[in-house]
Amino acid sequence: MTDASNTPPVSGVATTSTDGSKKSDKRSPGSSAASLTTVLTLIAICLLATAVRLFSVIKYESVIHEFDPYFNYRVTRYLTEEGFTKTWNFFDSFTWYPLGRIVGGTMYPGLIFTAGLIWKVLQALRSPIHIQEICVFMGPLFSGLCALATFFFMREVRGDGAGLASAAFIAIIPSYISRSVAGSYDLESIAIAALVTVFFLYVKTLNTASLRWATALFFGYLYMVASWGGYSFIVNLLPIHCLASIVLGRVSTGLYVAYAPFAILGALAALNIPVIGFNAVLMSEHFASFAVFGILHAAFAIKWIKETLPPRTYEAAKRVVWTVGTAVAGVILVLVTGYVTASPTFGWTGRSLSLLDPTYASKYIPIIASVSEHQPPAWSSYYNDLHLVTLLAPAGLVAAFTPLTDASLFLVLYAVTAVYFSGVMVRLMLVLAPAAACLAGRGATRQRDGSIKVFDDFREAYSWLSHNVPADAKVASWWDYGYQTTAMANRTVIVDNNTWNNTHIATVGRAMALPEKASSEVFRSLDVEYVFVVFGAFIGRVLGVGRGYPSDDINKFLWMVRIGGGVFPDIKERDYLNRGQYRVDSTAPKAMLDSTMYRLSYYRFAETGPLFGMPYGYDRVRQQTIGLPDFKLKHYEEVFTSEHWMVRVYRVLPEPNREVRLPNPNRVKAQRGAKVKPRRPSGDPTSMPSKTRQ
Amino acid sequence: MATLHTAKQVATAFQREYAKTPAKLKVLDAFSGLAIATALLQFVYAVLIGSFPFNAFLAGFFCCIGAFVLSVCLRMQVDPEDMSGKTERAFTEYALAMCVLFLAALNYVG
Repeated sequence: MTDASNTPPVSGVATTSTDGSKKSDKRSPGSSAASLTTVLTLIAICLLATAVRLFSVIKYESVIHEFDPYFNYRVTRYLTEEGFTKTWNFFDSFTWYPLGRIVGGTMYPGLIFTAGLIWKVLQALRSPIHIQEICVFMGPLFSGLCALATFFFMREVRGDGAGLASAAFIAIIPSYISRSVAGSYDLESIAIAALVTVFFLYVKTLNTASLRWATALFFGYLYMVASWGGYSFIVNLLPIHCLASIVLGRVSTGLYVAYAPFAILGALAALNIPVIGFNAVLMSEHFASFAVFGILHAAFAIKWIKETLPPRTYEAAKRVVWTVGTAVAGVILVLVTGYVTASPTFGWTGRSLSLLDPTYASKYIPIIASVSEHQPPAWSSYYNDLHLVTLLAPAGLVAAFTPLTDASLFLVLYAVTAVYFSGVMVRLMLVLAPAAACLAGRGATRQRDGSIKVFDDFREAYSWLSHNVPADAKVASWWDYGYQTTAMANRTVIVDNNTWNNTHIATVGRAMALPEKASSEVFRSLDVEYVFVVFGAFIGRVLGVGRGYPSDDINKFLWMVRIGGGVFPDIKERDYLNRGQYRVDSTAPKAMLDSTMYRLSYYRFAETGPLFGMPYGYDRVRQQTIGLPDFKLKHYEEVFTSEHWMVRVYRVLPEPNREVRLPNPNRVKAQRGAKVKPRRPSGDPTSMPSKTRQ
Repeated sequence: MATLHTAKQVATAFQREYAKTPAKLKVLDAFSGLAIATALLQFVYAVLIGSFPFNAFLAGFFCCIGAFVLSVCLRMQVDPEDMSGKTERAFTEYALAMCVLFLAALNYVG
């Protein structure tokens, strides 16, 4: 290595490593053997990481939380029943009725196969732990591994002390805890550990310039692409680092061995995963890695030719290359530009484009814009999710430049890009977490537990559905609950959290926005027999932190209107607003009060009695009194409402409810004190009416 | 025309200097050149005759480029001017990496 990485860090920075003695005075900080204290501290940190995430399981019960985990759990259950090969070909006919979903080709297999493998191993060891328990504890297990990976990563960059501190930070940083707590059986719980592992392997290859680490990097990256869509962050960050290194003149064997095999083998790895497939070479997200691959070779070629040729000939060669090279480069540029501009999204997938242009989703794809995790975070969430690390990280950023090694340059670029992207989408705070933890890896911090309050209404409702509704009945609801319904209620749904078919979702959204009669026709056309809505006004505003608890369907209703209106022109958003305002009280427009969502949510709500001096039908969530308190349902029949009214299940009636008096436009309402016409007794020939009434 | 003349001069100078490289490295360079040539051939075929099935084309193409890259890595490690010693280890790692590359490509060929 030709760069100056031997100088010890500047003394102005507080290097309070927990074992007190380590300073990075070695050529490659990660090359020394760790002392016993370091090993013990590291084990303690990993145990801490695992323990902190068990809180909800100990206090309540071992259960899977949130929505997406239920899909993962269902597929894992299928895996344990049918085996690995069948899971690759799993076609799910229980969802997106009548289209179904090709699960094998649209899932990230990493999490599911890892859990399945652990289950298999335990079965072989005669320890038959139920797959649900394994799924629940995947998060804590992998967060321990993530702390380990973070230690090794920072050890490469700065040394043991920084490694331990960073590992400690990542073990307890709230934004990571919330996605990897026991019961959060989601892709991020293993993906962050894989992410940091890939970074460690990259930096190790950079420092050692050996192919065995490059091979290890391939396997690490293979696991990463199998685990999470966030792999595209890596496949862009590494090229940025490579480019920055070239620009800064840090071209070395290590850089080539680290980057060039990664670009090719990594592409092969991504191609092999069905859910990514050809996107790995056709989508713009990956072009940076190929472009920098070319640039890297150009840089090395120049270096090699410069070394081989005598100086004057080199100058002449440069002239030749310039003329020919620019022509070739121009041709390639024209071709790529032509290919890219031919696509309306310039070759980027919708989700990536919304990261680069935050306004894109809100203009064109309401379904992406409506997901709460995709919103930009408030400034306060940086502090809430990262805590003390927010203060220490900038200091670490400055310290990373003194001195600047290849590895610390990588860390700086990682942190800067992560900060940018987390500013676009709050869920990417998760990617920032390890970077911030590493930067702050110079001191100690406090800890704060995050606990989740759980109402059992959802499970109550799913249990009711699974016991009281025919096995082949179709259940419609908003897409948020799709995975949970198929996993827990075991009934066929129309749309689910995979959100792959916008028209199908818009059909459901439109149905929720239409009046009862029209919506029941839409549902019947989909063979739907049961519809449920989620309603939060009975229990009032629910306490939660960040992504802790979802809002109810009335709060999401405007998104249903927007998404439905995006596909079907008969739904217009302005019909549901009162002069641009979203209201549910008496100022709400007719379309709003007639909508099925309104009717199914507030049916019998006013009868539940006034709450603490408020009038009947006071909605605590919206803080308004509902505009239409008393009404009867003509095309739906209430069949189940959970304990706190959070889930309300209705049956779609095949014919209108005849108990309700249908309005007769010719009927004249009787008034008080109306005169009753005196009648003669029946049979009196003089009083016989001309028409007989039945 | 002047460019062509200088190009010829550069080429002869380059040939002269290159002849001085040790035979070990020349073998590696020849192999790398072959790999690139095969990749180019595959690419031309795909453009002219068709790229169906696309995964087979990608597997073959990336395999060749990968072989080139790994050979260049080995060359850099084995080059007596750059780093000294550990040549045997470098070769074993190279062999391992090639196996992994072929495995990945084979899995994708379909």
